[in-house]
Amino acid sequence: MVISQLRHFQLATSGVQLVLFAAAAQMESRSGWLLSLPLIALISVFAWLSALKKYRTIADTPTSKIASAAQGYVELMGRADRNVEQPLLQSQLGRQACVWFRYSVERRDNDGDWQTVDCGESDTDFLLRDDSGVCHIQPTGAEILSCHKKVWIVGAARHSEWWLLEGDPLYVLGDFKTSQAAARFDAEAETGAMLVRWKQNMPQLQLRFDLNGDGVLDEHEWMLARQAARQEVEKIAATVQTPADVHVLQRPENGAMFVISNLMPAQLARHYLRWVWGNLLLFFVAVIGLAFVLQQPDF
Amino acid sequence: MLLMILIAILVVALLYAASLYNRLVGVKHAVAKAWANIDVLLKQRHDELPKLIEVCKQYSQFEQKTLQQVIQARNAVQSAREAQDIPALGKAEGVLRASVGGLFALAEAYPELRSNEQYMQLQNRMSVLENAIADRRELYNEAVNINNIQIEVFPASIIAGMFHFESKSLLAFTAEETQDVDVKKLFS
Repeated sequence: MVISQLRHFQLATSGVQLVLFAAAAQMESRSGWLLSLPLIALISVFAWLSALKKYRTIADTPTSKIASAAQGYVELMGRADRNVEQPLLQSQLGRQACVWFRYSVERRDNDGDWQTVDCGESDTDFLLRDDSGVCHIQPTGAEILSCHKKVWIVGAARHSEWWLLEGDPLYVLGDFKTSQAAARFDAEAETGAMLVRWKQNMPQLQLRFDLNGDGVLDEHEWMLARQAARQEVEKIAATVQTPADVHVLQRPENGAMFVISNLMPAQLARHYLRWVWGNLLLFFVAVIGLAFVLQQPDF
Repeated sequence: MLLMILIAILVVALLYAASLYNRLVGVKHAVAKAWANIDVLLKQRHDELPKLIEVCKQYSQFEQKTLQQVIQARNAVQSAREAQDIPALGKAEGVLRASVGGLFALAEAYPELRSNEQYMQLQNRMSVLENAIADRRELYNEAVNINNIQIEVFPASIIAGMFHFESKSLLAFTAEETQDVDVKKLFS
């Protein structure tokens, strides 16, 4: 299993921990270790709590059906599908047909380490289908984890790509919004527009609704005309095929976890659980290291 | 050295206990949210049913007993919903679904009613609402299941016991829900 994009916070914390450890090792001094080990412990405990929260969010959020999902933060599962309204998406480097991709190009620096010289990911909408409906996925800002990865060498460069493919099983956790087709039909406004059209042919309007024949439409006659217009509007609305509700899943505005993955929830939960244990282990290693340094005045 | 490690273990244990407490609060609120999501649909259907009954009543020969059954079942669902009595709601919901199913089956014998635009719209709306209620019942039961597991597993059970987190009832519709409507009986 390959994880395409680890949470930025996890990456950042791991990087900082590594830098602190390397700095202390390079300083080869007691004060260096006394400074770096407490910091490593502190960062590890925050990273541990963060990974624990993520693990529990995935494990504790029940799965909704698209058609009946409530508005707000939801978990959905289904299959990835291409949005036919968008042009066919091909990955940047390998030209792989997909619904989402991420790529990176690396070159070796003078020390022989790989350095990223170019990277990016697609932000094109794609679809999630379950047995109840379809939801548009807006991947911008999501933590995307994929099991499809390819790495290859082109000259002096190392190319890497991750994809979500059409037909992949898909797990998403994010903010669900629906724009209702029914809400787009404004019966009052349509009735008003119908009456305006009728008024343009006053003789015909009077012929239909001037019941007492006095040449003027009184309040009662206007009410009848209005009722008739409303009925006609509703009749037309019933015959016109109503567009389906449009469901969209996007990044939560409150900063809650936004995940898209072709891994199953159990695999994802295990992934975060590894971070939980890893950070906890790092915390205890740092604490034991600190205790050891404190106990050795000559260290 | 030992003291320092013991303090570290204590700190981790305290933070873990706090996170367990937060988790239990989270799953409890997830159940409440899942219930609210069903409740809003039940309320919508409660408001739509009188319109359906009114349309059917326009056809004087329409069997009054069936309409009465639907009204009674609707009231039973409403009472259970307001009391948040989940077992009673499950039972009443089963009866209501069977009654509404019976009403639609009976309506097949009234071509004029079937051609009534408002009736067809209401039938469609009712069908959409019932499907959504069924889906959200699954979601509610999943939330309840997560809650009930969390308060029973160790070590969360200790926190759950200390702070009186309670297990919740699953929403199970009664057998009427899945029974086929006996159309012959309805028309006899």
